[in-house]
Amino acid sequence: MNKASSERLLTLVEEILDQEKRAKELYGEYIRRIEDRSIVEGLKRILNDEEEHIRLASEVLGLIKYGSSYSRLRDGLNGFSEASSILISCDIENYLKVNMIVLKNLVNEKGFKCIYVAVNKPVSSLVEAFKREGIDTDKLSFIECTTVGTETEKRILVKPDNLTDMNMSISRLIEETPGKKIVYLDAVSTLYVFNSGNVVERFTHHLVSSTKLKGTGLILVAINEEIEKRSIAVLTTFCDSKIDV
Amino acid sequence: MVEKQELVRMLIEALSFEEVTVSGRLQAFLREVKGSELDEMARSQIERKFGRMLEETIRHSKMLTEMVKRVMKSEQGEF
Repeated sequence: MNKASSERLLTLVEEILDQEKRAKELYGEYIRRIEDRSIVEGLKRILNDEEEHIRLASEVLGLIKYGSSYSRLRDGLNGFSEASSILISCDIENYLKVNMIVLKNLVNEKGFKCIYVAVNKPVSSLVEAFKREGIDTDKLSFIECTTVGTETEKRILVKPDNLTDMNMSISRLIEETPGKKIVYLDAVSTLYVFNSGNVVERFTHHLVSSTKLKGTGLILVAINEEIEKRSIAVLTTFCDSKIDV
Repeated sequence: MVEKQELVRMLIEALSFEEVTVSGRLQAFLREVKGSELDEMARSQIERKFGRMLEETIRHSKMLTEMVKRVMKSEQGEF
């Protein structure tokens, strides 16, 4: 879809979303002021619909912004709970979209804290992009695969070819992060560039088991262009489910 | 507690919002979607979701109209 047409539709949906939010506020105020039971019951039914309309309009906003991959991901994440493990397999062109949609869904909407293992991109540029998309970055802590930079409280550095170190850093952050949380490995396929297939698969198998034991969710992202089909099949058998985007 | 005249004013404000503003925007949006280059799957999902919103908005207008009628006919002074 061309950019002008997509922006026009986005503007219209944002206006509709604002209206639905205004309607929700309006009916909420009426219900507080009116005491007549029959009128209040009718208004409550309308208010329930308005809440559902806000959800529907938000989904449509996502569909226009990210295309039909948005629905596939959201449907796949529907039953996600603490201790679930999901492999998301996507093409390189959808990779950034996937990150945004999953984090919005799990962090912003479902309230998970996220231990984000950044294999592909520097954390500074990720944080900038996440903030632009409205992702709550306060709920994120990072393990960055790099050989340069300095550690901070919410940013641990590891080398991508040292998976033992990575595993220990993930365990440490799981222990230090209170409440419900996920580990988001972005992207497991890139680890194959720095390590042999067997090593990555042993590491992943251990990660799936240990996060499950600790009641922590796990999202593994695999970029199709970086990984052989055989490896995708192996990773799929480790996880509870797989989403193809 | 709200006085009868004030309640009628409130309900008519909500009715006009549903009937004119929300319905109008939803219909305009659905027209735009029909002529857009969205992929077929996304378009059909959007049409389904917003079609449902439009139906419910029309139902809200009917419910609010019934409420206005009932309040107007009532001899109650406050609601």
